[in-house]
Order: sequence, then structure tokens, then C-alpha cells
Amino acid sequence: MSTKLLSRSGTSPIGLLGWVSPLVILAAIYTALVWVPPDAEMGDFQRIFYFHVPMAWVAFLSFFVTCVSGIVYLRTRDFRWDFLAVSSAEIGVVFTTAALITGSIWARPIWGSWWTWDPRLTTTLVLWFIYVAYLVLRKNVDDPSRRASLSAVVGMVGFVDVPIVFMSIRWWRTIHPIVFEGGEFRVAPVMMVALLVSLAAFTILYAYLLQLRTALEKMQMEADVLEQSSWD
Amino acid sequence: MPGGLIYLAAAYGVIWILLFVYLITIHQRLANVREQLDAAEKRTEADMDRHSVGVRH
Repeated sequence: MSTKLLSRSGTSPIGLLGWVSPLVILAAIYTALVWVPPDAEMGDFQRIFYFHVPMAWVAFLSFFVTCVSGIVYLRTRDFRWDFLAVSSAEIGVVFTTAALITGSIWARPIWGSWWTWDPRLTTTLVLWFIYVAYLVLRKNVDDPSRRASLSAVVGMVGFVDVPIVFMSIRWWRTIHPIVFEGGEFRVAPVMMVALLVSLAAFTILYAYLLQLRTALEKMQMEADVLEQSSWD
Repeated sequence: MPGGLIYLAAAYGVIWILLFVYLITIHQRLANVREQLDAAEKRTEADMDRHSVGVRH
């Protein structure tokens, strides 16, 4: 369905990513749930890690793309960058939500609480609110140019929180585990393989979702223009 | 850890439900826009036909 839909508006076919994404996701599920041995201390429960970390990674990547696209939009005023920015922001919110929920589920048996105002958790929640506000802002501005400019600024300013989230467990006292420190990952090599497979799989899924979502934004703009011209 | 699998299943369930709902939502929105585009194109074609008939007369 999607290939036909997207070819209409002149965008490239999404067939390849649409086929590759489920395959790599299946490979990631197999690696994380079957192939890698359980953690010596936490057992099978630790396997949440192989999906929680990629969720956070894709969220960071999404907001980075939103930030860069916003900058390029402000320089070029080309709406294709605005489409990319909003698409990536929306995907970022979905993945941040998944990271927060999976983290909370992991925290319950380990910390004895679903939520604690730890710096990592708090800054991640702030990040989620910033980009939800970004999406709400877009819904409330009708003029496309003004909407694109305002949201580009919010997308850029909001990205300031991403390095804060990343560094929060190094700057402040925290109970959140530190996986990456001193330029290297603090996990066993076999776990590292499972983590990398999962990171690659969710990055490909992100690319697929981004392509779909950007095409939707472009088609929506075309439909709005046609609608407008037919009433004029 | 006893009961750990329940939390693991809950976390995986949440991830996949969230991602599938999001994917289905995008496809639904694409289908809606497609309908919108078709309707707008038909209106434009009808307008052009009316206009060309008027020119001939």
C-alpha cells in the first residue's frame, strides 16, 4: 500500500526499508531473547536493557535530526526540511515514551519504585515534555511559514536538553546504571553484540518510519494546497 | 530474580503495542490524505471541464 501511496507524490519507494526493518527487528528479538545468555545477577529480566537503550538512542537521534532540519529550514526556507523536522520529532516522542515506560518497568523490581526523581529520569521527562510541546505548538499555528519557523526554533532550543540527559548521570549523583563511560561500553562482549544488533535494528526502523512520516507530511501539504485552490 | 519474566513481558508488550499503534496510525493517515488528494483532483478536473465547455460555447 505504502509504495503506491508514496509514488504518487513523487517520493522514492519505501519498499526496501519496509522489508528490511521487520527482518532486522526479528534478528534483534532473537539475539536479545534467545541467543545472549541471561545476566548473572538479574537473570532474564535484564533483557529489557537490549530494547531500552536503543529506544533512548533513537529518541536522541530523532531530536538531533529535528534540530539540524530546523537549522537548515531557517537558512533555506525549504519546506522539505520542515517536513523532516516534524516527522523526526514525532518519532522521537514515541521512542522517548517507550524508553520512559520500559525504564520504569525495569526500575520497579530493581529500585523498588516505578519512578524516582533521579537526574536521568527527570531530564528525560523534561525532554519528552519539550517535544510534546513542539507538536502541540504546530497544531495551534495555521500559517505554514510561521509554524515552520516557530517549531524550528523550539526544535533547536529543545535539543539542548539531549546532552544534558546524556551527561546527567556523570554530572550529578544518580542511581541510574552507567553503560558508556571513559569511551567504552561497560558490558560483557556477548551482551555488546546483542546491544549492537538491537541498536542497528531500531535505527533502521527509525529510517523506515521517518521515510513514511515525511511522505505523509508532504502529501498533506499537497492536499491542503489543492483543497485551497479548488475553493478559491 | 523471581517474577522477572513478568516485567520483561510487560516491557516488550508496551514497546510493540506502542510501535504497532504508531505504524498503523501513520498508514491510516496516509490513506486519508490519499482520499483527500483524489477528491481534490476530481474537483479540479471537473472545474477545468466546466471551464473548457464554457470556452467552446
